[in-house]
Amino acid sequence: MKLYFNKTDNKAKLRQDYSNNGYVKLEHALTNETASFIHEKISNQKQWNLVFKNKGLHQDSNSADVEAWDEENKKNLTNLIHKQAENTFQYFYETIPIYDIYYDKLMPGHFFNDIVKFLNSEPTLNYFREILDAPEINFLDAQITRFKAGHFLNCHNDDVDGKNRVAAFVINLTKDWSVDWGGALHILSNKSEIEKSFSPSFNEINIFKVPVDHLVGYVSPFATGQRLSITGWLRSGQNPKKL
Amino acid sequence: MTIKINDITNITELKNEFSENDIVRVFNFLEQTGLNELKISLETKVNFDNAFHLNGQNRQASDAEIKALPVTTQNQLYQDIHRLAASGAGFLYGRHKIEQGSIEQLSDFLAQLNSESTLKIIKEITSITDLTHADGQATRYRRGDFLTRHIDNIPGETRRIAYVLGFTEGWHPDWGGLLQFFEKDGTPTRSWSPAFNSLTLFNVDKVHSVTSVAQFAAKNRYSITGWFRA
Repeated sequence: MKLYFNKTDNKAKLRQDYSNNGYVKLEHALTNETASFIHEKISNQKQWNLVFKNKGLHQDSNSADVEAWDEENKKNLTNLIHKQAENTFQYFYETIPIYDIYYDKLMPGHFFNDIVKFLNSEPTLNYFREILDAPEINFLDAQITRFKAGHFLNCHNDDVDGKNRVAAFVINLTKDWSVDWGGALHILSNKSEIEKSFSPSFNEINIFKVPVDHLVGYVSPFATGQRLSITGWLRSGQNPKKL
Repeated sequence: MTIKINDITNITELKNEFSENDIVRVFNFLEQTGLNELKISLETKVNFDNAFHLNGQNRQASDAEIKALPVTTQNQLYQDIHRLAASGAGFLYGRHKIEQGSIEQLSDFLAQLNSESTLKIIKEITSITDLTHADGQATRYRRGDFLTRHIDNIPGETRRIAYVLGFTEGWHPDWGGLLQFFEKDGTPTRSWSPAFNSLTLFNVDKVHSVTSVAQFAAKNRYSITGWFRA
């Protein structure tokens, strides 16, 4: 199936929003068929990486394996993660690294490759260049993320030397989410106040300028749904993985 | 009486903000004298009961009462609270109603809030002029505590303005416990991280919630909340 963005007739308004606030919300960004198609594929995905930090280092585990652990081991893992969330940067959620999958040819023929090709196509990049007034955008990287009860991504600013990140994006592909479950994207102001919150939604893209402090709020332990999105960065400079 | 309210010098600004948004924050609300004592009282002297919603009823039980239940009953209790919360009807937090018998610092605070001069200021800020008194409760949110979306305007009640006065220093928004406001359709409007000695006032028709406190929050979230009533 071919993937498409919806035509937008309010680009001027979106440009203005982004230029004024440093963030913008694109509602009904993809065609409904495209969003539903990607959503269905992702919802049925069985293999996820469970990610968190331990002693300052990024950890990447097979989520299904961890799920099969006994309760005590699972509890030890969450304790270890929580302990290191009190005073240092921490996160705990699931991901599929589709940018790596495509460029490193890890899963030839898989649908994930189509998403990356679609997102890195000239029409898509032009769409972002135009709204952000950022002709320097040259490519994007992306991962699929899933947040369930107890997951979180604590405050950070996305600014990494040499990555040339112009802006971050979140393509919301979450259905049937209750805002009481948390998991909102919170963008902070300079004074560490929350300036803007976006609840998980379906077929809405949130874009914000890098660097800015932001976080994905703790998902309530009683949440029964999954917060699905494709997220990544619009970058300038050369794509280091370009074929 | 050692608890006093600071002179508020920007009433016009606060009034404009309230009239525009139906919400406003008054920073640095209490005078320094007595403030710390009140904070320490909340942290160490107040007996909180756990308030929660179960089977359509608002219930209350102390930690000791819950601990006295068989473990399977305890587990069932939290599962039931969570199941209802998942569908949007729930809360779990520590509360202590300020009434006769409450410790002196709490009674003093409530008396200050009910003084003619304070009521006058609140009326001025909110342009709601039929306020006659305020009630109050101390609240404590520990890890896992929450309050799902609701409005405070209950038919037959005389609530006009809700207030929340924060007593937690150095809270981080990562820890949850945000006072979050929404449009009727659930779109978030504002999310306020607890701020020490900051008084939030809002119209009782505003949809709001307190987001779940993360299991890694480094401290408890204390506040005094209640309503200015007609």
